Amino acid sequence: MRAVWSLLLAVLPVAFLAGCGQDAGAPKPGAPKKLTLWHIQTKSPMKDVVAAAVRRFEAAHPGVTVEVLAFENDAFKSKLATALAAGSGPDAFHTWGGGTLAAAARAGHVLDLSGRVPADRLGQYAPRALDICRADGKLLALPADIAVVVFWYNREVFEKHGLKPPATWQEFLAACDKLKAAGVTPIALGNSDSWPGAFYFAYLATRLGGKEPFADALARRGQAGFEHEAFVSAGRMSAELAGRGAFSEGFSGMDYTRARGLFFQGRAAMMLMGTYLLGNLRDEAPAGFAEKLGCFAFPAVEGGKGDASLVLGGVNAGYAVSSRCSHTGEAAALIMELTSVATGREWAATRRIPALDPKLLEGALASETCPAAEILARARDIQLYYDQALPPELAQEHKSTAQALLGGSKTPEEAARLMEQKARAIAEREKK
Amino acid sequence: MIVGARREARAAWLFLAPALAVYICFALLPILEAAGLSLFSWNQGQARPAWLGLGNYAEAFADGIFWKAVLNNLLLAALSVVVQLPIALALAAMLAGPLRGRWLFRTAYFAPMVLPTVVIAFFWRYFLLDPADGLANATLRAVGASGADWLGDPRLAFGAVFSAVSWKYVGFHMVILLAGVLAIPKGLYEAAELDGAGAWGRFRHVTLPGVAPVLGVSALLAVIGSLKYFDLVYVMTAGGPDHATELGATWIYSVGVAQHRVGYSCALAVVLLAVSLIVAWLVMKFRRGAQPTGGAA
Repeated sequence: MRAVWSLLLAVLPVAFLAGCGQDAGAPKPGAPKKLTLWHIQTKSPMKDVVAAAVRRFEAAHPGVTVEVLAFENDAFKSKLATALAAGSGPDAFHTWGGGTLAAAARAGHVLDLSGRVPADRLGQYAPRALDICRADGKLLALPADIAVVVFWYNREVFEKHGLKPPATWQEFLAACDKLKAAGVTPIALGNSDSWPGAFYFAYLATRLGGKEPFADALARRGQAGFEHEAFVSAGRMSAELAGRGAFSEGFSGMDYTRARGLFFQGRAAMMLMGTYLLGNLRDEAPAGFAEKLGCFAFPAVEGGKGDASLVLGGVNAGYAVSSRCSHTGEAAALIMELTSVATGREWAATRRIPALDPKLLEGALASETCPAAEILARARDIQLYYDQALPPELAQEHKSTAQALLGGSKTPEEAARLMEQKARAIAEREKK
Repeated sequence: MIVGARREARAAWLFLAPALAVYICFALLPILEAAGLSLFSWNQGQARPAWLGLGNYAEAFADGIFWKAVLNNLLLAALSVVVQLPIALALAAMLAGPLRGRWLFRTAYFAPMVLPTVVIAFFWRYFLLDPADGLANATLRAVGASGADWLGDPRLAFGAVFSAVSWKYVGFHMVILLAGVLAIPKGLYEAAELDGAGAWGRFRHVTLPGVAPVLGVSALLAVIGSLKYFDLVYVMTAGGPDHATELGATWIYSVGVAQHRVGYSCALAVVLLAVSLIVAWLVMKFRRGAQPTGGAA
């Protein structure tokens, strides 16, 4: 009896391992090939654009099928990180580029696409979007979407109170005060998610000091780090903005979904948000709201050293190939189709900005997207969202200190010191 | 005789085997694996774990947010016992009596327990405590006061979250205690009444001692539940604002999943496990001390 049991116990794991190993075998030539794709477009019409691109790819590649799985944003992040670490990830996957993708690439999870994409194809992408997909001299992803953070405003409310889109920070503050005095909530903000409020900190720091202080602090160059004057002042200015009651009541405990509801319902005059806000118009905004919607660039800050045309933004959809993928040629072709001109023109119809050369998008952009695309076209450079540029641990510290600044529970100096301490601790740890 | 005992033992093992296998695979092995990983550094950007020794534990002991989170766990445990159990006991004592329509009350108080936690969290977050349109602020404004930022103000958030937790668990404890109260022999109440005890006297001298062992079980469940609490808090505040509602489990999740520091989050989990074991042991010891026949509970 005991012998039988031991035998069973000994055999079970082997059987299990054998089962796991099945996929690892070399593919037979001519056998049907299967690719897996994970992405985050769970809603129509964005989801349909991805599905159509996959169908075009399958039609052009007989014998190759694509298994597509779409996840919610946050679930996707944790699922992908776990799957990549465990070596069980998909062949191709959605990415935001920046620090997280670079970290995954350094761990050997991401295929270098350099040399796999023809030069004439590379020339079709918006160069700054491609930059966000590069790290350590490698091309890690192809960009499908480029997003820019702008102030959206309700034109009807602005007209009613005799306001014009402000060009400078002082004009902006005056507009906030005027609205507030008239009993109108100036800005809708849902900061329990912490990234929407962090836009203020990042934009102000970029206006005050340009891209350099952040780039230096991230690369650990120079002395100032995250305690640079630009960061302390940006913290002070964002806290002051919250202090004068510019944000919707209870913004610290409210989430992004609720806050954009306030804006769509006309209960707040402005909202600082990426172009992806427009993706929610169809399902959430009352009829006629799109016609009232306007946008303006983040105001210039008096005395700021940064170029006032800079925009905060990023690649909000890009596609990368796993280094474990066994059909790299097909996977590269798949992500090229996901970022092709045909896909891009359909993507533009969902009111987003495809990461393509504007010349290829002639007439494709939605009317609500155009003013934001113009702000992007005028910008001399893009500052990638701080939380996407930073490695995950520091990104969380950035979001949580920015949240504490707006909530008034940390001083600008404290917030800057916490960021710098965390950055030093990480650098210290990595040296070991 | 000996053969019979051996056969019985074998049968016992056979019956225990499935549960044991599940326990070993899904509880014991992961705990051991976590304990093993806690000695490694395994962050995003690292292909495989690198040996670190006790470095993660040194960091854990200096991690202010983690200890704040553990204190919040202990506060949650203490408040659960001190606030939820008396309310639950009062409800149980009232609903054990011949109250008209008591089944309705019993069902109503227990109802939150059968609702999915996420539904409870959304109900509290978007219906009761929403800063713009929530019932709480609407009521305050109707009587001329100004609304509060229940989940956004670090001074209020813990209390707001605790209210939601209590709303869920009071009904659960009420049902456990109700069973305890109903198990008290009716004769004791009659005897007490004959001795001239009033309603308070009967509660103080019959119900309370009679239900004490069950109360102990409830307290133990409340304490252990509080130490590992996660879901409702995660959905309502995710530990925010500024870590005001951070619990051990929410911080471990955030370190492990959002910051991708697997080794360090495992070390935090081991420390939290140790804290939980110590507290659970203290509670059990206290119960035995207070209750010589506590084993019967």
